[in-house]
Amino acid sequence: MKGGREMPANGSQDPSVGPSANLEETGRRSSRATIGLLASTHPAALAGGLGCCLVLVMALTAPLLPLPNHLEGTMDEQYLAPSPVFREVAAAPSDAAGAGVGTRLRRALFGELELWNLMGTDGKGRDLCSRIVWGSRVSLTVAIVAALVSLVIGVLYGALAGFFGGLVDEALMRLVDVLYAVPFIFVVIYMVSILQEYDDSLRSRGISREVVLYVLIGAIYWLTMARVVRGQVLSLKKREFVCAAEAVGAGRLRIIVRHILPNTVGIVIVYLTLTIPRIMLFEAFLSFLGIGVEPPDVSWGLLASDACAVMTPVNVCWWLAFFPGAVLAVTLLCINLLGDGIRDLLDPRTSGRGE
Amino acid sequence: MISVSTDVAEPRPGADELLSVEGLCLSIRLARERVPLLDEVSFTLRRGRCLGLVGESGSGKTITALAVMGLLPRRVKVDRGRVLLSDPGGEGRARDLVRLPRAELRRIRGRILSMIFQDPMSALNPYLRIGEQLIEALKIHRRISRRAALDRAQAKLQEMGIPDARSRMRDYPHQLSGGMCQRVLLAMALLLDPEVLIADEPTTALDVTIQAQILTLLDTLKRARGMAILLITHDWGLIADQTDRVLVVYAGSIMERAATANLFAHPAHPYTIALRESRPSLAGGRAGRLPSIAGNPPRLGESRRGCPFAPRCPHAMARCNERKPPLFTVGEEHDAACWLLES
Repeated sequence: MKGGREMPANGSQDPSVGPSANLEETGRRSSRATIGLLASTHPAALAGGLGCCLVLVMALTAPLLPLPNHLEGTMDEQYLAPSPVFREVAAAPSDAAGAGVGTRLRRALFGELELWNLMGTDGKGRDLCSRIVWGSRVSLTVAIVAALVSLVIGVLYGALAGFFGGLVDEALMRLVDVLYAVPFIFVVIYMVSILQEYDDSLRSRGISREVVLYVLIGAIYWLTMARVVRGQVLSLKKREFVCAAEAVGAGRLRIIVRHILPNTVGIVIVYLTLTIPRIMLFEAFLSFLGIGVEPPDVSWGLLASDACAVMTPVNVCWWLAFFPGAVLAVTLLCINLLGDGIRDLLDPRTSGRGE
Repeated sequence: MISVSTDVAEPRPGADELLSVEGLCLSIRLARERVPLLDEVSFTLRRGRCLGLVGESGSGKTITALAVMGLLPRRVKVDRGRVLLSDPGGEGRARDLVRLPRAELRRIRGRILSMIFQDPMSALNPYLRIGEQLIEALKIHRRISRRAALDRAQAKLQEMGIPDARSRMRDYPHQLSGGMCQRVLLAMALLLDPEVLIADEPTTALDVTIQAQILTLLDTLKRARGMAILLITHDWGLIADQTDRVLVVYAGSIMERAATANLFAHPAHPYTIALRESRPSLAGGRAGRLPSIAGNPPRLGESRRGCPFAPRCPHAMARCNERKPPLFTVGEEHDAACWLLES
């Protein structure tokens, strides 16, 4: 984080900024120029962005990667320490008949080759690397869905409270205070048990339990976002440009949407990059408690909790805890770095002709 | 423009009177009490004329402008008085802006009444490109395509003397200098050819050459389009150059009002005289101290029964502290609020 912030100061004196900054004067910056600018001024942010892309690609292409089955293992391969080998596997007879597009594509790309035991195996002999890759899908989906939900609720709520001020603000923010006092873990447990009850009727409508859970998490994590946005809006609405917009006849909605909210983007993005990790951790925690993602699905939190369950001083399977934890930590770091960079890039005052 | 409820039988101001403020009293809520800000301020803006509003900082100049625009902060209330706008489409009726519904007022702002602000840098939204900000007024008041609006805004920018308007349209406010920003604001205010322009210290932030350009521009608008201008300033040079009439305010009250030439030739109120004297003179060289008015303006909420200027006035009499002087007629269209002038 720190590096990302300090770099622009050094970077703007760097002559290499010149060409990309000049491009802006001719109009919109091309995306290549943007990346060039980012690379010279925010190398940490660029690294974070690349890391996020990598995780995203990994999650999206999980079925195509030459990895062992993440759901099945053999008992004689349990608790193997990492020792990566490429090995040929004979296609299971069941696969040949009902192979999906992903499996067929994978077979076309890699044949029967697979990367075995890159990060060790777990107590059921399943390949950990494969489980981490598949787990990223769940973890990222939770993070994105829940963060978007919290973003929408939080920003709208905060903007309304801040803009209208007075009694409206008082009422809305006291409600937030009250909600802060609610122990959400119980709410979630309660909701999850309700969800299980109505599982069938939900499924018949094409809504999976997980999605409801993700939205629920998002609906919990908007409180601080609302506070942050409200504070910003409170100070922004007193700025002269808001008065100037009123003076040309702009209505309230236009002022909120066009003048006030864009000015909160910086802090919202920064806060969002802090929320995403919290949500991922919360999901991990829920999985740990056994009310989040349910096996056979995997998520990073679930992997970590599995590790905690089997690790003993006698049976030190360090890889079981280390790899899921490390992947989680690196991903969260990347998101934070990226957020920091995006904030700087979106702010017209810090991008462009470096002042 | 159609309005029903507010077109009560207000008598229409004189033919060339566009806007008249009558006995405007404002007060602000501080802690528990209401503190008066403006006391019985009245003036008239005429077509093709420029009225100057002078006074020290905090004398209520800007709040007067905001009251006319209907942009008063929530804590400030209009206690009494009217702001009558004679609307050319209003069937010879004047409308009281103080009592106009918010939506109605919004349709007047930017179209008939425009305002430019003191600090050009902070009056522009840092996150919007100049072009986007300019066309806002057009998008609000006219049904016009984006393309056409942008073209019109660009033409206006050019008219304001901004070089290379095309590429400026794509700039963000921080990329422009203060003078540029002021011209952008001016373009924004004039985009819809308003009848009345309120200029709140339009040139304080600018250097002299740009100041001159902007003033020439305002002058042209006044003459060519018959725009009425309310010029708020504390620069006597500007007053002498630009205005036809002047209103001297102190602590929210009118001290003197007169035609500009008259005011300069025969200032009647001790405050006006003192204010005229407190300015550096080029002829005097550096010798001696800059003359100033002893004492400080009254603080907000300091209640006084008499003349607000009495504590600092060299001619103060016992009576000045007891009753506030009304405006006495001094000459033709020349009034001043001072007991010395009672006769």
